[in-house]
Amino acid sequence: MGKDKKKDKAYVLPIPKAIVLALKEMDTFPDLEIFDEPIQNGNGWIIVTSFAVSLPNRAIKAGISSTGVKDCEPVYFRFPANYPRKAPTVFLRKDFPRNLPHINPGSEDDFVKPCIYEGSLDDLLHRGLGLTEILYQVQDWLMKAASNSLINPNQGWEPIRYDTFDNFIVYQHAKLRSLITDIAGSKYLAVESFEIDNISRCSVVDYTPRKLDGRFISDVTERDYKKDNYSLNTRPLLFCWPDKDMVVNEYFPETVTNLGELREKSKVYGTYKIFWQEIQSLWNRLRDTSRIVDVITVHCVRRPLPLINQNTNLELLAYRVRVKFDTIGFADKDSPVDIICHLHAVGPELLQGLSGSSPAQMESIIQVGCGSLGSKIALHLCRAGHGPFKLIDNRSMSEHNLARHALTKTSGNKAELLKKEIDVFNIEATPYPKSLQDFVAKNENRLFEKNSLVIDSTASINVRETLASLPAAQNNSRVFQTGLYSEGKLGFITIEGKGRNPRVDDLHAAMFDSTIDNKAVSNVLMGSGDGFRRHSTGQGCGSYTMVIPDTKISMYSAAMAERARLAYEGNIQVDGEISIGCMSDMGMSLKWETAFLGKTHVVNLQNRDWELRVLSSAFDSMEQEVGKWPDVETGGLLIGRLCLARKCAIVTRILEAPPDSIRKSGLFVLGIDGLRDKITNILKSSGLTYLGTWHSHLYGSAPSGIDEAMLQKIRKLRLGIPAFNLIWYNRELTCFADYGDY
Amino acid sequence: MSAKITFFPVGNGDMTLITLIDDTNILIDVNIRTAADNPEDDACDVASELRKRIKTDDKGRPYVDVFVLSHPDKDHCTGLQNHFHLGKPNDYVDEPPEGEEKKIFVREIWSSPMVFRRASKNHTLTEDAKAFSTEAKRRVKQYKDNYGVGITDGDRILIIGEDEDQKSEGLEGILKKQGEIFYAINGTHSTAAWMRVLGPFSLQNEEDEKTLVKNHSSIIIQFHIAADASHQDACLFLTGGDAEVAIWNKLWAKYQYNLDNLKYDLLQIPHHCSWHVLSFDSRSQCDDPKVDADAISALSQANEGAFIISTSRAIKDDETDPPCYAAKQEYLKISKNFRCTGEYPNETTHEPMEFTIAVDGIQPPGKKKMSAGGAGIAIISEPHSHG
Repeated sequence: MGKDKKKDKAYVLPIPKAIVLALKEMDTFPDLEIFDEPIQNGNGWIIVTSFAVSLPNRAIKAGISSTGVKDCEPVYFRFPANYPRKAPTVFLRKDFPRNLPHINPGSEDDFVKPCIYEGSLDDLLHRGLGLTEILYQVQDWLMKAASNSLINPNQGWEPIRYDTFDNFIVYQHAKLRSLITDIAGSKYLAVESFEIDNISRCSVVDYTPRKLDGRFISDVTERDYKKDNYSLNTRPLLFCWPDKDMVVNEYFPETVTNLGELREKSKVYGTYKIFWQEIQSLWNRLRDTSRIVDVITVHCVRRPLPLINQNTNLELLAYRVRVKFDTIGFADKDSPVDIICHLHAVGPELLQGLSGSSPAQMESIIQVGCGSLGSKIALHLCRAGHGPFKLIDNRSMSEHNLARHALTKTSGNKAELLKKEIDVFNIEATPYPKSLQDFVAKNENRLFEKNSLVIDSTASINVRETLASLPAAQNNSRVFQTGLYSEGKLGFITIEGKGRNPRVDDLHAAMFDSTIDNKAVSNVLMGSGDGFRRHSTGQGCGSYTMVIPDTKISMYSAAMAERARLAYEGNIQVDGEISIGCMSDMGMSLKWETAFLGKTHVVNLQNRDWELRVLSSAFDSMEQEVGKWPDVETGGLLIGRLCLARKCAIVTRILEAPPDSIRKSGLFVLGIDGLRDKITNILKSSGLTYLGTWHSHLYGSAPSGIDEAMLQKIRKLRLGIPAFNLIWYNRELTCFADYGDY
Repeated sequence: MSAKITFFPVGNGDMTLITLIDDTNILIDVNIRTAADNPEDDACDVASELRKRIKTDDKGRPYVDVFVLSHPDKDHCTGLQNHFHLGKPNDYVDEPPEGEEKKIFVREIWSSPMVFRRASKNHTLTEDAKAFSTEAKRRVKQYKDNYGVGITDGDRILIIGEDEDQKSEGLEGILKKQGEIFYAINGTHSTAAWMRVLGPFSLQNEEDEKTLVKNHSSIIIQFHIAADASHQDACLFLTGGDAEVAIWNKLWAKYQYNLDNLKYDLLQIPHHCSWHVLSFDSRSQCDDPKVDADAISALSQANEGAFIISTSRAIKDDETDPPCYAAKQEYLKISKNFRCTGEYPNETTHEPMEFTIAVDGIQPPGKKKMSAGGAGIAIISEPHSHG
């Protein structure tokens, strides 16, 4: 392209102002020279320029780098008619070396189109310095091309570049890779193929290797459906890989066009022997059916480095072989072979990559409750590439669910419908259309057989009680409970501690205990009305549900799913965790506060039907109180939650003894001053109740005569409700209790 | 990553970072002046520019594999205490006070033997130089006390050049003498670069002491830097602190029949383009100052198209020295590819000058548009959002 060209060009249109301004901007760029007037090209304009490229010193004299970049490179800018709304396209001379990386695919006869920027040039144009940003990228690209630094080896191996391709194959890279062994080998798969005008898009749906038997042959030859110019087929796929030590260290663009070339290429890959032997066997079997179909073949190439942005050094290259046989029955080496471009099938690998999530440290997600909150959480985790799922819900989708549910179909069980949705992501999910109680009926350990994150989003007290009644996990399984209160003004997440201690019920009681000292939360949680209403869903019946928009549920479910994701990826404490999130007045943000709870102390009881649990916070308070009174007995009241059906009491805090209490070395008498008001307040603000008393002993843990008398007194007052009385001695708790009518 | 050599704009001073293909980095000298640390000042914030180019280790410390102090002059070690951890590795402060950045951890030091000499009247030390000297001595003692066994990152040291004054017994393992070549960088055999020690010379006699002391005990190294595994000597980089004419004269005497030892693709002009590197004559006292033929010969062993860099203020046609205009004319005779850190990208705005090492040698940075670099009119690129 010389300066003398295009002098006599007659313009149909005057040069638009935008192009004039572009010329002016380009003119001030160093290292750039503009050749002549712009050339009209359709509705757009081409500006021909020349870039002076700074070459490495030893290449200056020759004027060309060893990579083939000249010290003066013509660069063509094709400005669209709507510039600067759209950016110009950049081209290099036709004979610019194509063996360099970061060149867009194109044919030999075209101008070379460098890939000068990772993102959109249209955005780059409007980012900062305007057209100059693009000029800088061109300058930088050419200089890197000259010094062969377009590939950053730290980034990894540049995947093979396809200059021409029309065909696609969709599969999960990791699943296909998992078939590869250390010794050269091959496997057959059946793939689904959609063909239109001889261009195909195949998908690997089933990764189970097939035997080369009659059934496979009939599957790949007889399942065709053809109409007009398209067809749906099942096609054989032959997957070949080389020996472990066969590493291909050479970068090359893909150029195979026929069978002879593919045979030669497979020699480079180290797959020739197995490929040629197996494809002939396949052809022989196909010939028996009097039908020869196209064969898809995928070759594994081992690279010295991991591929860019992939965590593997195995590059998989796919081809479609459309064989023809010559008169004596040999495969014609000129039989056409099409290059097939791989697209990642959706699956854990692709989803984790795009989400930036880490590999899971647990083995299973058990979603208990597939309602509006649960369905959203499960799909969030699925989109982050996590699974496998067990989905437990006995209810069916109904019309009114559509207001807030992640699912959009109304015919069927919620767990089963959610499974179908998760299937789309190629993530394993097993639905259990039954209640949690039925799920664990035969085997109480069933939830914790694998290292599981058990997400309870049922908002069911009954489910919580069931979960609390299940045995401690031997592995690192945890119950992750979530729920919303008061029309979504508040949401919570509790995560059990190691070995399920503290347990889901401990954490729930502790959450309510926290409202005693937090008026704002207490007002929301214990204020008038819980936000539940019976909402009409049709004739005769209604749904007792919370009235809340889908948007608010989504805000909470996103935060909950994010915490669950991190927990599943290993961010999990030994202690239990309680997070409370509150919606801002504007309704656009949530504020979460997190607290941790240590191991709960379980007190041995004579009555084995009952369970008495003292939260670590209450235990610590007792220890502090005892420390304050080393020479005399002290004590106070026990506050907490009583679950009469399950026969469990959870002590969440102690109340200090009233001022009229008597503390002596052999005696503690609990006073009564102000006690009634305090307990009433606690009941109002937290829903927690009086459970009994505790006091310390200086010598021995056996209840004294006074203690027995005290118990009799309480019994009369409690009217059949159990009361627990704890004796603290040397950091050990002993209980003497009255179980009332229970 | 391609290997790179970055010259930071630090006025008349040196601060050069070599990054090898295996990511090993070697920092030669620092001159981080208060102005450069002051965000209100126009001077290039070279400390930030340096931090952008180095990595952090598994303990979260920014680090350089090697810090080379060519010689303990102010314009070669200013800012050392402020920005680098000096002292035992265990004393590293993981949580710096509010408003301060973590200090840069130095895995290995290359020091000239000069720091072991007592300060004399013609050799005074700044606080940074004293701190360097203390640290170098600590590392040498650590080496001696442990008989060279079990020395790890943060304790390593090499002494470049032998000094007769110094008792070098027991230090053979960390001593690299003039003329020696070595491959070890931070205790590991490098396949990304090797080094030839050209200076300092050992002081043989009192005469040497007189002529060679000032600005003459600079470390001079010819770095052989690889572009990739199969191009080991892609770039020869010659750097020599403030070494002056007597040294270059002496190097010519030693190597005039062995010119490969003086070859370069990239030369960092000694002493900020001072006249005294090329001539024994003073420009102010001599009517017709002559360039020393031997010294200029030693500095002329340029490979085809070599780049010559003056790490100095902008060079003006006046009597200033350094940088000296007449000296620049001499270097231009050697190669037209002359660059000055004080003029990049222009005389008012200064940015680090980053060279890339390619199979074909050393590639200079591209030219910048005048308007794009101005600090006052910098346009901040809008960050990407996701929709």
